[in-house]
Amino acid sequence: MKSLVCFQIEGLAPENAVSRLKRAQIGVYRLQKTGKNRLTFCVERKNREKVFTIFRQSCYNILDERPYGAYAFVRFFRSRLGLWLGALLFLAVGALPDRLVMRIDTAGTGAYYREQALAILAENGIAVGGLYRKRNAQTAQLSLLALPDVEYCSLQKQGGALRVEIRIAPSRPAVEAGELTAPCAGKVYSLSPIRGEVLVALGDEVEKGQALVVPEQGDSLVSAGVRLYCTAQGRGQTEEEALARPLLAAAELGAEIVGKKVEKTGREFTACVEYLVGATKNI
Amino acid sequence: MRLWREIAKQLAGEDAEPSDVLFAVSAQGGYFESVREIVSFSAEEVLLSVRKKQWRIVGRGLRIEKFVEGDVLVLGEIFSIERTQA
Repeated sequence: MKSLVCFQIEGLAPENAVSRLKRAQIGVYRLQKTGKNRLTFCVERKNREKVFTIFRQSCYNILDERPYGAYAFVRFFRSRLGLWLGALLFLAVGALPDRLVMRIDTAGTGAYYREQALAILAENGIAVGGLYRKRNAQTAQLSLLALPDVEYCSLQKQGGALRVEIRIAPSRPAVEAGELTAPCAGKVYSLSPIRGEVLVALGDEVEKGQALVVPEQGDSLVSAGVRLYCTAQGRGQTEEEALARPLLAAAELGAEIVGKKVEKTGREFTACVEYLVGATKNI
Repeated sequence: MRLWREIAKQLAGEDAEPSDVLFAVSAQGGYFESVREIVSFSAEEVLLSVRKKQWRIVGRGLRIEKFVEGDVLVLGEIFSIERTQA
């Protein structure tokens, strides 16, 4: 594609202008008559000055000059350089925050792994102020999943922030073989048997260590829960002294206090504390 | 060269002198060589000067796309090409 410059000229018998150009061995392109005494034509850009020289001392007036083709394209861009630079800058500023890591947040039950997570991310080229690359993030994610007890990990880019969510697998207590026994002496208050044979009924008096639920024949596991209603007595010179011992006994069993009573008998006080003690097996 | 002559004869008649001007015409326009001058032109008619003769091209929507070193490319719908005396 030639770089052309187009002219519009005006004068009598404008065809003669074309002859002048031919005599000067200037190739003419896109010749068109736009009026009785007007015509437009294009010449190669290198001949632009020659055209001005030819028509300077003639009866033809150059009314308009504009670039055409590749030259017009170049001129168009060159004349709007600021605009293009601005547009590029705008795009860069708009797109950069998405590519940059301005902050790293850790979330989830495994957020306490933050230090290790930051180290793993850094090893994979992801750090605050650096660029975020998806491929690096995927590698880092695999390393994070390899941390102890981590069952889930996700990396999400939210604007300038990178959110690392780490979830820890819920710990499951080991399954215990054997029977469910009474943690203390008391009365069966509630019973939730899931697996096993129940040996007691609600309201039964049981002794400490008595088997409440046992594995069924051919089975070795029990899954059940029980709550026992228990009481403890104490005596002392003051009310507090009388209550101290039974309350301590209840606290040691992690019991829920449901009632307490203190009576004065002669010179001393007698206290009775009622509490519920829970025990579970494989629940 | 023979092809040009054949085309010229078909378009301008048996008395055409192919040495005056060589041209080819298609649906989009015509290509003319050895043109000395463009005498006049408009969207309906183009007059080309070739030595002592003129070639009159009649058509619709004619425009001269190129005039370089005696070669003229006329674009548009050409109805007829006839030779006239200058």
